[in-house]
Amino acid sequence: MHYQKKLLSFLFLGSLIIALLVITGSPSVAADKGPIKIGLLLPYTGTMPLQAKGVQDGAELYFDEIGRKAGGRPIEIVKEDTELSPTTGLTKVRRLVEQQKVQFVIGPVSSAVGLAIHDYVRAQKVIQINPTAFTRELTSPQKASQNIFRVCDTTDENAYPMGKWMYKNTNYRNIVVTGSDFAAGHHTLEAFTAAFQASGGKVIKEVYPKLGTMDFAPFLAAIDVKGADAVFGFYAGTDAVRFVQQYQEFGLKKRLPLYGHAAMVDDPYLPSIGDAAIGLITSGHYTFMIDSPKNKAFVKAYNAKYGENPSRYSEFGYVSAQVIGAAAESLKGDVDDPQKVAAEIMKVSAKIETPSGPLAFDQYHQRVINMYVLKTEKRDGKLVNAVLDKMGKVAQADVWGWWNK
Amino acid sequence: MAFVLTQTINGVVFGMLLFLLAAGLTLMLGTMRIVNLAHGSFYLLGGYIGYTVAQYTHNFFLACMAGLISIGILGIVSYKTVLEKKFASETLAQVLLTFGMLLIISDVCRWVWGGNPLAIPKPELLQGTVYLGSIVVPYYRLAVIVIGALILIFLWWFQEKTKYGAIVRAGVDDAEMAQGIGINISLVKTLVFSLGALLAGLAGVIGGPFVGLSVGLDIEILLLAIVVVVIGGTGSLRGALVGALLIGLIDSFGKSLLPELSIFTLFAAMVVVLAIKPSGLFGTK
Amino acid sequence: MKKGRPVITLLIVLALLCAAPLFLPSYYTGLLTLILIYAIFAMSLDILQGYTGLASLGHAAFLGTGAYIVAIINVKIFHGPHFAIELFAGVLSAGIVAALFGLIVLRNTGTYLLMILLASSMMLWGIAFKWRSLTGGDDGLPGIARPDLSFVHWNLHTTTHFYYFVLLFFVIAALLMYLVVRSSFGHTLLGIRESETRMTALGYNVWLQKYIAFIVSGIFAGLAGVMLVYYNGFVSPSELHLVTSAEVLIMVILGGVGTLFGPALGAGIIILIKNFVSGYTEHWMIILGALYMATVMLAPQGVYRLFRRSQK
Repeated sequence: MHYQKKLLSFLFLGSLIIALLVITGSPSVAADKGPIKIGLLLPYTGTMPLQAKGVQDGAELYFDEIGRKAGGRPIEIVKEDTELSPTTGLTKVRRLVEQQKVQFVIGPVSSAVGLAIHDYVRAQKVIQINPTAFTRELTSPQKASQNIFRVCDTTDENAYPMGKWMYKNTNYRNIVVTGSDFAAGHHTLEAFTAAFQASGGKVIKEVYPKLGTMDFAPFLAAIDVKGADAVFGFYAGTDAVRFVQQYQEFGLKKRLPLYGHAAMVDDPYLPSIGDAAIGLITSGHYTFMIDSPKNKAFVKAYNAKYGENPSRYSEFGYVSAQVIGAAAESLKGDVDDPQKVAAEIMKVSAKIETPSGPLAFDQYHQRVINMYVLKTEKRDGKLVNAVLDKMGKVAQADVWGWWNK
Repeated sequence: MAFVLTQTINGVVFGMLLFLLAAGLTLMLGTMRIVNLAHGSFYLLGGYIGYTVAQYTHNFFLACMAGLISIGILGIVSYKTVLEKKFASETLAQVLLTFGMLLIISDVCRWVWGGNPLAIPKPELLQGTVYLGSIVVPYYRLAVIVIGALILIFLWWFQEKTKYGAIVRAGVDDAEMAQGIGINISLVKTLVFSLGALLAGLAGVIGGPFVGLSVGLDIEILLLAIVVVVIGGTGSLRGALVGALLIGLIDSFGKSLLPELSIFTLFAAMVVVLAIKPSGLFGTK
Repeated sequence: MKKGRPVITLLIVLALLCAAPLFLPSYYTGLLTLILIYAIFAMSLDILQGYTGLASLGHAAFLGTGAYIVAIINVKIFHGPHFAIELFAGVLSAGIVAALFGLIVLRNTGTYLLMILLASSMMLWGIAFKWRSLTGGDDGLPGIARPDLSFVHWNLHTTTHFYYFVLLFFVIAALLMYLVVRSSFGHTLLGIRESETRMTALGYNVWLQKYIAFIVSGIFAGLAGVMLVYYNGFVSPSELHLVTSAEVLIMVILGGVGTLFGPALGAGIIILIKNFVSGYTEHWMIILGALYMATVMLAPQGVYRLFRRSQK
């Protein structure tokens, strides 16, 4: 009897699941002039939820601003979680494209996921706006694709100009570079090194702790080498929090000024890092402190909706949405032909004013991006990244010569 | 010389934190033969609860108590409602069960405390660093060594010198016999399990200022605890201590001497130890 | 016990699997393909876990090896598909890794075996992660082309054809594994699971039997890896990671340890539920966790045994 009860309960559950699957499984028939469907393919679970949230919040804000409609059609958002895993990312993007029949995908965050879905997206010809996956491969001549656009700075666009800036604007000539031991860390530091050494400086040591290091003490000892006058680093997320904190805790900050990629002092993580972040100088494309009319409006609207300041991920999400919205509007809602849409995006992008500056894409659909040098300070009791200097517009072709021959 | 000293201190500090974790897990795994994949989750949840208490009371000691008590209770509840039951008697059933717990606790933590990495502020008394010659050591890390030592002494005393320790050992080895002489085995087991859980929760708070609290930490901590317990040999407090200090030192020296290979250090150590001594350094099997 | 019943059930399932692409939308056909691949992976682990009694948290080592070897051949050596070589090399390399690991780990038992296998596969993960010039590091190796089977008029780039391709290998693998566990070798393994000392007393070379089981299990896992890399078109270190090993172990336990087909069912349940639930809520982990706990409470012997009264 007991066994039969169990069997029945499982059968019931099973049929319920199948029924639900069938109901939700049937692809939504896009009626003539139905909604424009946009998929958000982001790592909601996993170790980068703040990046996912930033991108999503930025995009949603823009769609709110245009009244959730573009070109006369309502906008429908579908969210899928990549779990920060390439296999899952691929499964979910297939769901977005084949099941949900989205016309646009905003995502992903992880470079590994970006590479994993790349061939599929290219073959499917759905329009992908990449907000954060910054591995340089994705928009290189070998891989670039008609229907894929990227709005974040590549590792080159960020670190190479910074290498030149450091040589020109500081007296440091013997730098130690340090970063998490994975592709992004290596690419960023290599770009910096190429630029700094081409300018005449020297990178005297490289220290690569493994990703997810909890205790940086031994590595800090390795960084603290005789003859070094400054440090340039790349850490992201929790690693950044721990590294920056421990950098101060172990007394290095006083002797070796710390420079780095903006990910080290990302706004969502600043409260966690605390005062240890003060004085760091980093290279980034955005801070909510940028003094432009567009940005001030953006920051105000963002605060009104979310009660906090936008981060660079918010900007990426917002711009991704801007691109889609502008193209949809310009095409009067006729967004079902990806080739047409891609061409239209290239046309309208020049007219888009983003919170970071005017928008432009190069021939490989990589954003030509405005870079700034930022300094972390405490203003009115809050930690912010203030603008220290402008590095101007950077296109990937300007800065990849050292590896892309 | 300074180099060796710094790395040794770092290694011992990290090792002490690992010991707190491993002690709890070794009680569960070795003494009670329960595989608890949610051990790292206990650590993380305890840490988060301690964080919230610290936010409101600005008192580190209260935060420690909160982490300790809350997870101790969670331990009792999980044991009584789930792990004690017949369906949880097989190892693989425990794997599935506690893995389910891991998923649930992980998601709840993300839901309640969000995705921002949090850090528990150090107690005021222990902020700042001490300079031993040219070596920099934050006070807090020295405190961790002391706390770890105190807990070690307490556990050793409990296990060796009190009758409760003997009861636990007897009860686990031969439950029927123990019951026959009037020992409430179920109560003893529940207390031991919750002791293990409580140690994890406390470790979460103590590690808070140092390691922080973030998404994914539960799995990292679980892995470390398992490595230590397995290398040291399950069921042995001495094994847990030696295993923890060994891992701490290997980790510390490994990172500074061979930073490029630091991704392999722990696993390589595990393979080497287990290949040579299949039951761990002090294992009894 | 009606002997014919299980066979009829299997035939019905097979028929359904063959007919699936005809009535399922392409996304679900794709998902079913993934399920079949993980089913092979899970069944291979069951040979080790359920039949020989050797627990492993490092089974991803074989999946990943098969996957990476195919990827490296496809992308780095030939710059294009070479199915026969890739299949053979992928499966063989997984077997070789199993043979090497087996030499070291089989002295360990129980929890220690679980752990040393965990550590060994994480070492492979570390190698894949660090050896960027060969494996692409954490970015992985994308751009892997599916085999060119135009000579039998199969275009594996279409979802349906690829599904049948995988289904074919699934059926072959399942059949082979079934024959293994039903053979006298399989019974020897069961004997070892029950009591190694007894088997030794009876004159069996227990270590050798375990070793062979280990290699056989690894070979089939390698096959799953080959299929997986064709399915994804890329490989990344996560195919070697503990998380993958843990997932497949959960599939085996959920489905039913020692039933061979239970793990296949477990793979299907977990993949379907994960994908279904995550479309509705960010908190799919809570639901999945509750499902695991419920399964232990309601069906501690695994889901498959609910339907098969006669299994032990």
